[in-house]
This record gives sequence, structure tokens and C-alpha cells, in this order.
Amino acid sequence: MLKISHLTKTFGEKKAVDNLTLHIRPGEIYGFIGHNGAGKTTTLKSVVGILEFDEGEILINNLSIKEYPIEVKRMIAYIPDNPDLYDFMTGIQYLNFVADIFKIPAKERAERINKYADLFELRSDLAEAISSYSHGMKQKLAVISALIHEPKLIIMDEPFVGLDPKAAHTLKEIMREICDNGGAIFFSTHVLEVAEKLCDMVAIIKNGKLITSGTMENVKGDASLESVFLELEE
Amino acid sequence: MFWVLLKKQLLQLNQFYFYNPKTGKRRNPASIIGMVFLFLLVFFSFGMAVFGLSTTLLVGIAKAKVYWLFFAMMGLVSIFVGVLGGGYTAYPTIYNAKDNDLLISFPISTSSLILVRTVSVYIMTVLYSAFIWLPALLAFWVVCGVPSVLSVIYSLLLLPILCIADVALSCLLGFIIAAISSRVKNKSLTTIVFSFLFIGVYYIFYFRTDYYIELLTKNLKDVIAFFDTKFIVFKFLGEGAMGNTLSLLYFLGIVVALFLVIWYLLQRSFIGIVTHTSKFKKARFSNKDIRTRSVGRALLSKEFRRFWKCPAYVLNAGFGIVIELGFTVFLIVKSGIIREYLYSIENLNPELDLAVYLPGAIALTLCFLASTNAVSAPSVSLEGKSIWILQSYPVEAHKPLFAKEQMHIILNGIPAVLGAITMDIICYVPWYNMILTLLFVLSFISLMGSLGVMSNLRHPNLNWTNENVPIKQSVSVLICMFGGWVLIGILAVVFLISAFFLPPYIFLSIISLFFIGLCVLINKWIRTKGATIFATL
Repeated sequence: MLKISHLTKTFGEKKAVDNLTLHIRPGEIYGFIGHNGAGKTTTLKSVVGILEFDEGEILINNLSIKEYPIEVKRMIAYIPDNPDLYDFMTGIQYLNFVADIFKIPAKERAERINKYADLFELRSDLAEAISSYSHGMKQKLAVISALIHEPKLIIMDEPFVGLDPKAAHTLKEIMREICDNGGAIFFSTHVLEVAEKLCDMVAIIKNGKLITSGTMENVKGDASLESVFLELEE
Repeated sequence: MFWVLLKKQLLQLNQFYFYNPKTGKRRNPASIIGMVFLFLLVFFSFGMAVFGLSTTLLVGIAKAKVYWLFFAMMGLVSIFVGVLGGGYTAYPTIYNAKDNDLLISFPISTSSLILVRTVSVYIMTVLYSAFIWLPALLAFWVVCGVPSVLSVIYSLLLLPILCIADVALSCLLGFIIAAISSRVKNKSLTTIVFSFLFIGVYYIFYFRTDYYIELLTKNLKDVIAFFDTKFIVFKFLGEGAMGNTLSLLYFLGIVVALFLVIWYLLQRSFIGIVTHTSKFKKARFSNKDIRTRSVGRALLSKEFRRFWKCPAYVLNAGFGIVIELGFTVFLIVKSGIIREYLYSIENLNPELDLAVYLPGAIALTLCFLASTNAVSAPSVSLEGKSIWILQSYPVEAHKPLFAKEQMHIILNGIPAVLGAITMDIICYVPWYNMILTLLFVLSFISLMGSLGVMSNLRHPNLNWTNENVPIKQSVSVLICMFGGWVLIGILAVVFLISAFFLPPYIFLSIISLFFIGLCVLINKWIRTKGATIFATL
């Protein structure tokens, strides 16, 4: 599904990501963890095509993000860590906008918007201006906008921040459902307990370099993910 | 605490003016020099007009030897213009800054926060007031001579003192807008309506300046008596500018007291206003709100939504549209007088064939008006931190850019077309010249639209906390506005020269083709290089 090969990105003199290689297969929920400034967001943005990278290759379903950006972006969805949405729109105007970009027909659009609006309990706020939303509501809207075009691969940067427990639980269920249907999720998080319970695979990055990756069982063994992480970070 | 906040504010201003927002590095000396040059050009152009106005005013005042009256009047005008400029800045700077929540959550006194915010407003009012006061001073010294060294020192000192009054009144205006906006649902509309009213009053006075000067000159004694009784504070200003120390101190005291009163009012009400939650009826979502559009229409609709929801954008980039529409209405109302005027010119100069000049003059006038609306010039920067949306979605990067250009063309084109058709009908311009006038104007507007997008891609600023920054303090806006004016100026000269030997339809055709060609080239750049820049901003 997603192949990151020897990804390198430098900002000035600092290598934010250094020769990173990862492979995310269909059906996997892949957790990406690391300390602040480790290179997680840089990696995710490079995958989505927002950031130009210096070396390496990123393929989604064998299509290069550099050579086929539009085709790749049709297959993926991205939720940043702090979603700055269009404050001048209402929630439904924003969802309509996203659905127009992805050319979702009216009937499917209505079904999905209603479904996710009810699941995330945002229906009563959809007609309100996004500028009046709390952080959590914006996060929910960003999640809904990512789901309405039924992407094959979802890239998320700390998606649970700001979500209430019910919404977080709903999101986890949706993530599992997407992967069970052949999709994949690649997300970063600082909440290691969530990663431990949810992820099939995990990668730990430190100072731009991948220090370990594999199945959750192989990476953490009998210890907790937190203790493994702290040990590797030393 | 005040000094910490002031340092942050000055760092922010320094960062904006002297550092490239994209790279974080200091701007190169050439671009700083360019900015200074542009500023001086504006100052010089505007200053010449004020100089002329001042010399006209001085004729009557010098005869009556009431020199203080001149400074009193120019001080009043200076404050009016300063408040006009500062008023736009005060409301968003004080009440709508994006770091308000953050700073309110810190142990920072409201008084310090407001005082520091007024620094930005103060700087803006100094710039606006300087455009009036300094040329007025120069006019006085040229016409009436320099009264004394003390007069020179005091009159220069009066500029920063006047600006204290400016900032106080600007902040008061900002407070009124904020207080009303916090209690209405559609805050953008409230701000826009207030601003248009204020500007409308300003322009009514501006267009009747000659009449008021004539009125003043004829009723000098009454005016002096008025200032002596009702507007004595301005008499102190006038006398202070003439070298009277006591009057200067009185004026300073009054202005500082005014500032302190308004500062007190603001700090007492600030938290209540910014944290006010109104109980409006919640809008209900229904399936009727789910609509489909093509990608192009969705992108264009998004641009228009942002435009109408942002008062600063409407007022700064769209105010010329109102002027153009007002101009068209004026033409219709005064069409009879305009025709008589044109007949009288032809009667006075039988050899003069107005038909030669009118189409070009009409086209250039409308292009000049259109060039004041820099709609596309801040549009890339206005994406701000939400640019990730368009970058991560499957839409070719040039499409959102062309949507910005389209909005520019629509907003400017409609009033321009109405104005062109109205003027051509009133002036009996033949149908073929009318078509060419329209082509000329629309091709110019298209060119400015594409130039705006291109210049903003070259000079983007996505790191703003206040929408005024990309809209008003933007290199691309300056380039487009002044570039447009310079281009119109050059074309006006070319037109006047060519009118002797070229029929107007040739001038209009050639220049229209030139505009179209340039527009095509710029759009090609936007589609290729520009799209690449946008995709990775």
C-alpha cells in the first residue's frame, strides 16, 4: 500500500528524516512514534505530498507521490495534528467543498455525511461557522472530511488529540473497519497505550532515523511499549 | 511585563518588515530598499496633493495673518486621516488578534496588553498623519516663511503628539465596532457597514474640499470664533505649532488625557468583549444543505466565501468596487451635465475632436479605478495555515490559483463593464469603440488578476495572526497597486501622444492585445512554476 524507501529530508543543516524505509501493507494499522522533533510530521507530510523531500521514494499502490500526485491524493486522506480549517465556512460548507474536490456524487455524499455526523455527534453543529468550533469539534470535522471519500490509506498526525473519549473510540472502530476492508492507516501518536492496543505494526523514530519497526509483539515483546520506547530513546 | 510584550510586538513588526516569512532569513537589502522606495513614492505623490491643498488654504489665512488657524485645520485633517488609517488597524489588532486567547491566559494585565497593541496602531497613524502634516508644514514654510526655530521644533514635535490623539480615537472606534460586533451574529457585515459609513463620510468631505476651503475663506471670522469657543483644543495645537510653549503643553495634556480615558475604557471592557458569548439561535443542518458543485465552482465559491467573511479583505481590496459603482451612478445622475460640459469643450475648441480622446480616456479611467482593487494580490497569503487542505487534496495546484484570479476578474469586471457602458453611452462613443473599451478594461483587469497571483506566489506570507498583515502589509499588494498605476500613467502618456496620429480603436486594440498576451504568459507561469511553488509552500 505505502512504500517509503530511503526517505531523507533536510532543513538547512539538520536532517529531519534520515534514510527512512517503511512498508505499510493493506489491512495494517501502522503506528509511528517518536520524541518531539523526531521527524514524524516531516515523514507524514512527505507521504501526503505537502513537503518536498530530498532523497528517496514514496509509493502508494506503486504510484510515486512525486510523479502522480493527483492520482495518489485521490487514494489517501490526511489529518494534520492541528487542523486549521476554513474558519469562514460552516461545517457543512466545508464538507461539501471536500466532497466537490473528490467528486463524490450527491447520494453517496449525503449518506456518508449523515453517517459520520451522527457517529461523531456533530450533526447539530454542522450548520454553524467553523470559527465557532472548539478544537475537538474541528478535529471531528477534519476526521469526517477525511472519511467521506472512502480513502484506501489514511495518514494521521496525532489524531486523538482533542477528541472526547467517545469520538476517540469511534475513530478507532472506523480505523479497524477500514483496515479490515483492505485499507491501511499510518498515524503518529504520543499516546502509547492507544498505539499498543490499536496498532498491528509500529515504527519508532529518533532524530530522523528509524530505530526499530515491526509487529507490535516483536517490537515490545513482553514489556510495555512505553518501556521499550523509553529504553530506545536513551 | 509591558516591556516583555512590547519587545514581542516590535519583534513581530521587525520580523514582518525585514525578514522573509518563508525562509525566516533577513530580507535582502535590495528588497528593503525597494519597500522604502515604494513608501517614499506614495508619500511624495500624496504629499504633493496635500501641499497644493495647503497652499490654497494659506492664501486666505496669510492675508488675515491667523497662521495658527492653518495648523489647527491641518491638525484636524491629520487626525481625521490618522483615525481613518488607524481605525482599520485598531479593531483587528486589539480585539481580533489570534494570540488573544494565549495572552489572556497568561498573568498579563489587560492594561499592558492593550497599551502594547496600541503601539502597532500608533505606528500606522504616524504614517497616515505624516502624509498630511509634513507636506502641510512644508507648504506653510514656503508660503509664509519660518516663524521661528521654536516653531519648527514644536511643529515637528506635534506629529507624534497628534498621533496620540489618532490612536486614542482609532481605539475608541475599534471599541465601538467590537462592542457591537460581539452582540451581533454576522460580525463581518457589521464591521463592513461601519467602515463604509465612516469612509463615506470621509469621501463626502474629501470631494467637497474646494467648497469648504472657499467657505472658510469667506467666513474666516466665524471660523476663528468657532475654534476659539468650540474647538479650542485645536487653537492650542495651532498656537503650539507657531512656537507657543504653553499652548503646546495644553494640547499635549488634553491629548494625553484623552488617551488615558480611552485606554481606561478599553482595559475595563476588553475581557468582557473578547470573551462575550452571545445567545444566538443555532443554525440547523438539513440534507438540503448538501449540494454538489464542480471542482472549479467549489474553488471559486471558497474564494468568494473568504472574501465576504473578511472585513479587511472587503474594505481594502474591494472598496474600489464601491467607488466604481458609485461613479457609475454619479454618471447616470449627472449625464446631462456631463454632456453639456463636453459640448462646451468642443464649442470652445472646434478643432478638438473629443471622439478621438474619449474612448481611451474612459478606458484608462476605469482601469485606474480597477487597479486600486488588489483582490488577487493577497489571496495566496490568505490561505495561511490552512494551505495544507489544497496541498493534500487531489486538485492540480494551478486550479485554486486560477480561482483566485477569476474572483478578481468577476469582482472588478462587473462594475468596470457597467461603468464603461454607461460612460460610452453618455459620451456617444461609437459601438465599435465601446466594444474595444470593454475589451481594454477587461484585459487589463485580467492582467492585474494574474499579476496579483504571481506576485503573491513570489512574496507569500502564510505566518500571520491577523488578516490585516497579508491584506495591507503585503509586498504583492504594493506591487500590483503601484504597478497598475504606473502602467496606467505610462499608457496615458502614450495615448495622448498617439491620439494625434492614430485612431482610438487602434490604440485600444494594440494595448488590449498587449494585455492579453502578457496575461497569457503570466498564466502559463502560474500553471507551471507557480503551481509548483503553491504545492510546496
